[in-house]
Amino acid sequence: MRKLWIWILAAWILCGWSLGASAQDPSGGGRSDDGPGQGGRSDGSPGRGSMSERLKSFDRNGDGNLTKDELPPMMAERLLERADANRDGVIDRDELKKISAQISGRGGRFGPGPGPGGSSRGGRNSSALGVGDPAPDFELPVLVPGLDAEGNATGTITDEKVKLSSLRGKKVVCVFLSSYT
Amino acid sequence: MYESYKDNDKVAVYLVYLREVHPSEQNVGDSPAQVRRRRAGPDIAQHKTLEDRVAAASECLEGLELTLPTLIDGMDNAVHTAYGVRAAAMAIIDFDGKLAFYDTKPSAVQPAKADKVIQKLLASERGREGLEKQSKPEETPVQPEAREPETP
Repeated sequence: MRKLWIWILAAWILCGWSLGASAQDPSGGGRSDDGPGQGGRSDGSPGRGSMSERLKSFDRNGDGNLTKDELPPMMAERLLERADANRDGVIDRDELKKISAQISGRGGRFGPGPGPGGSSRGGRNSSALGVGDPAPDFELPVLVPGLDAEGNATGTITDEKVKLSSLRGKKVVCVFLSSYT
Repeated sequence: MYESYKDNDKVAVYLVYLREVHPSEQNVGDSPAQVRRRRAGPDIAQHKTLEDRVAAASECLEGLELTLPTLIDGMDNAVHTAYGVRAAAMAIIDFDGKLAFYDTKPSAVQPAKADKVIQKLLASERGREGLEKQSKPEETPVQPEAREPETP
């Protein structure tokens, strides 16, 4: 009888340990996906089904599009900001395909680029940058700051643009990427 | 930091203004810490148009008293995505167009650290230019061949 209790206790401890290990976030505290089927694997990859299938499972009316109402609240804003390229408030099939590929490429983690620290080289996803990689090129308009008649900050952009690759061989470029909030 | 490099023809410093990380809209499901952070900061809604973004960037420059050249990310957030930005990022690109420094932590924007990296890159470029000059043989001016006068 005593031996039986010891075996039951050992089995219970083992079950609890393996459940805790699988629930542990491998990225060390990064945000977890809020999608259905929280049974993601411990390596961060989606659980059952592909990422595309998981996202499609939110499509309640089956029209192939995802709206804010159909998505979980915490996921809705982030997904719309990242996936809704034409800013119509709906993630259509093409946008869904694209974002599914991006998320799957990052091992199922729903977040931009590599984890905290940012300088590690991630899987095969091209946005997982690291030191030594070619800097992604851009061509962006220049802000011309000014003040309006009431002295409030106002600015304009002109046709003048800065193309990063045009500075290659000529300058070291330091880029701070941020917003005010 | 920008002021120390603005007249340096070997260095360019830019702020790329992105979409708002903590827009003023209340979002269901946000943590109390996120709501507190949003209320403590400037009240800017997420940009719906490029004009909104330009206005927000102007407000940022004025509010933080910044003078560095500012570029505006498109409404497709292409640069935000390409550089894997979460809240903020800092990238330093060397003369070969490669990332010499890259950080996407929320505390990434550190001018003092950027300064150190830039100085190292400038020093190594000076060293490279010096080596190139030494390895180039001195060019001697080509003397035109003396031509004998034609005899009738």
